[in-house]
Amino acid sequence: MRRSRRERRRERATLRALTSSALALLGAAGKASADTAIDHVESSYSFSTYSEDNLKSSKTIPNGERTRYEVSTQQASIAGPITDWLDVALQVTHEKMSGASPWYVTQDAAGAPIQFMSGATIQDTRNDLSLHANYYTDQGRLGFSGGYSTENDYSAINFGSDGELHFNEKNTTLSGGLGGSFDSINPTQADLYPTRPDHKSKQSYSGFVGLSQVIDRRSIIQGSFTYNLGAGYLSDPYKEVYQVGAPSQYGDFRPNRRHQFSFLVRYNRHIEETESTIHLSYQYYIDTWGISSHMGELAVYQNFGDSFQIAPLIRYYSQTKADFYVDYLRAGQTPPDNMSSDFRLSPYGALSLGAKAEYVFHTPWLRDIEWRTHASVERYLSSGDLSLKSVSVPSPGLVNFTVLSVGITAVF
Amino acid sequence: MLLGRYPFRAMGSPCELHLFGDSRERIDPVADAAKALVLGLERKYSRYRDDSVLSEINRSAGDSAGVEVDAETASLLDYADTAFRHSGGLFDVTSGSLRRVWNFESGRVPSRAEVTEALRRVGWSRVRWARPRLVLPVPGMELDFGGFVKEYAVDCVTDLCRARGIAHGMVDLGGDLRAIGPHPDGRPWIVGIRDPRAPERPMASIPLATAGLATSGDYERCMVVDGVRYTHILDPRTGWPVSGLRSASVVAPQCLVAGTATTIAMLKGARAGARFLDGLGLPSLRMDSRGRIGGSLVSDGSSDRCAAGGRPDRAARTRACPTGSR
Repeated sequence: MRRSRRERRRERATLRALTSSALALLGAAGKASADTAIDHVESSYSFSTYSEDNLKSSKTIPNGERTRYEVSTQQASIAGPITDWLDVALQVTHEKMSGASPWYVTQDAAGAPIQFMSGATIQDTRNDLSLHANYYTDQGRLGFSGGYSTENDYSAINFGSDGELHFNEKNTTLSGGLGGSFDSINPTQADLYPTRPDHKSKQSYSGFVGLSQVIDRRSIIQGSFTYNLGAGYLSDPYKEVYQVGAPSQYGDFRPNRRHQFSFLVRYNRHIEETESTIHLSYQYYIDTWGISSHMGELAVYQNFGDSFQIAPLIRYYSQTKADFYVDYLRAGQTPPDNMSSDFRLSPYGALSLGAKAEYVFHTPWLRDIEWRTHASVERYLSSGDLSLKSVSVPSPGLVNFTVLSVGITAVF
Repeated sequence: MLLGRYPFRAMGSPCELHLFGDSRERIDPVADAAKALVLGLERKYSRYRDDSVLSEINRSAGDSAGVEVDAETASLLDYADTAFRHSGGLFDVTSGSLRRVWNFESGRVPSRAEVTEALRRVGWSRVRWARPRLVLPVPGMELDFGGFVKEYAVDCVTDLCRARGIAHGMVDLGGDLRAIGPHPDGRPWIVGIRDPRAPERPMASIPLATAGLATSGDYERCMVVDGVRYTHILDPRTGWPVSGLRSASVVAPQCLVAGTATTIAMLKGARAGARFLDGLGLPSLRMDSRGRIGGSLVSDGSSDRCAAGGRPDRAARTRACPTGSR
């Protein structure tokens, strides 16, 4: 009796559905199963490219540099169990960055701001190593992580701890975490550019608490609050601020403290009739630099059978400007203590459209490894017109970009 | 260590608990609690008792406001919903009104008109189920939990015994089984599966250490009229008893899942049922209407491989077990 793979997959899906429903039922009668460490060794590799659109010729000086950033990222990881209650994961990342970056904003003949790009093409690589460990108990999970990242002019070391605690027969989960990062910056060509410091450092500390509640077996709602404190040299050493009529540019000066607060609400609902899950989320963010933002996202995870999934996504974002954001200083204006022409601190709105596809297959002839493959694409567009509040003079440096990513995971 | 055997009758079947413990004082109270649990579930989900939760639900049929159910019943309905969807509508807990026209004690085959009339009150897809409210929209519609509540009780009793310190034992509710744990020396329980046409003779012996085993057969609660065997398993699409498989047995970590799998296989019939059982990937055994035996349990006896932690050692598996449960 020949049997198609499709039939076999359907029946395995039936078994999984019955088993998970039975476990939910038997759990409801007083038995909750504990979290457990991952029980297989997983190894994965992914490659992605981040590519910014060229600057429009009207947004920069005539015949100026228009190419922007390209980043290619390779990531490999391996994770596996040490005991029934402990698992560890190791991840290495190698990134190559190239292209020109926004330097300062000047004005064109009509007085409109235009972006001046760094002339020389930057070439840099970043290497990152991180290690995670998770300890599991009947009531929850406790994780620890640490990492080290280095590039030509930058190095950072970070650590963190996070955990989850289950209540109410696992229908309610409280989560929380603490983390810190210690970064050291040694700008290149500091001898040529008086605005670039020799050596600076910055630190960031963050904490979050979250609560997730199972509403019924098809839907879950989650809320979380995150606080982040940035301290030290938070400016960008490669950016400058232009003043009309001044012989040279000023440096980028930002306050040396930044308190950031964000509130996230997420609602996931599974629709059995169509084998899909809807993810809705909203985030409100506010910081002590004067930026506040709204982010809304809708993603639909659509399953086709047991092994194929497509997830389209739409995300909207809008932020107000930082108090000290300026495009450029007017003639005769007294330079303020803090100022930056960085487009990321300007008022704007952004729209992202993306899709991700995942395909899972087995190779029974090769140790019955399960392979999970994915490919994704995201297109990001930002402009003053997309902002919730109208923006009279948007930053000329606002960016549009495309991210492509492919990856494969082997589960042994 | 001593073995206590506790036979009792519940859910229309002979039941027996086999519990190992240091003393009677330790295991008797566990057996009493387990019996009380089974009888409590029977009382709660019996179609024949007016004071049961199920009867209360069935009395609400036709009322568009429906009825609000407790958390355990809601989870059972969620399970029934999952089984319905994943069986293409074959596993249907609304078959209660068919049970009224098919009375296997009477020896009478209902007329086509009676069956067609009863079918108008069958169909889980017509039920409105939004936890915790259930609406049976058609007057006379009846839920019947007979297809899975016994298996559910087996898992509940297993959990209760383990929670109360019993590490070695076997739960048997009318042939639906689950090992609480292997014998104290680590040997698995050896369970015989009956030949549907010669119930005194086992057609296979299966070792169980922690898993559940459920069997559906056309020999339980059936009637033979004019040489035709009518089994108690009714197809919710036609309203008539199924034919094709004489019996199906499945081993799964939970008895509930094993029982649902055997019921769906019986409903699918000989060919599709056999394919379904093979596709599940669970150890299984079946006999078709011509007496042919198939399934992964035919050749090897290592049925407990799906049960986490319940790996009987090789020596125990190949040795006959004199203290097996049957």
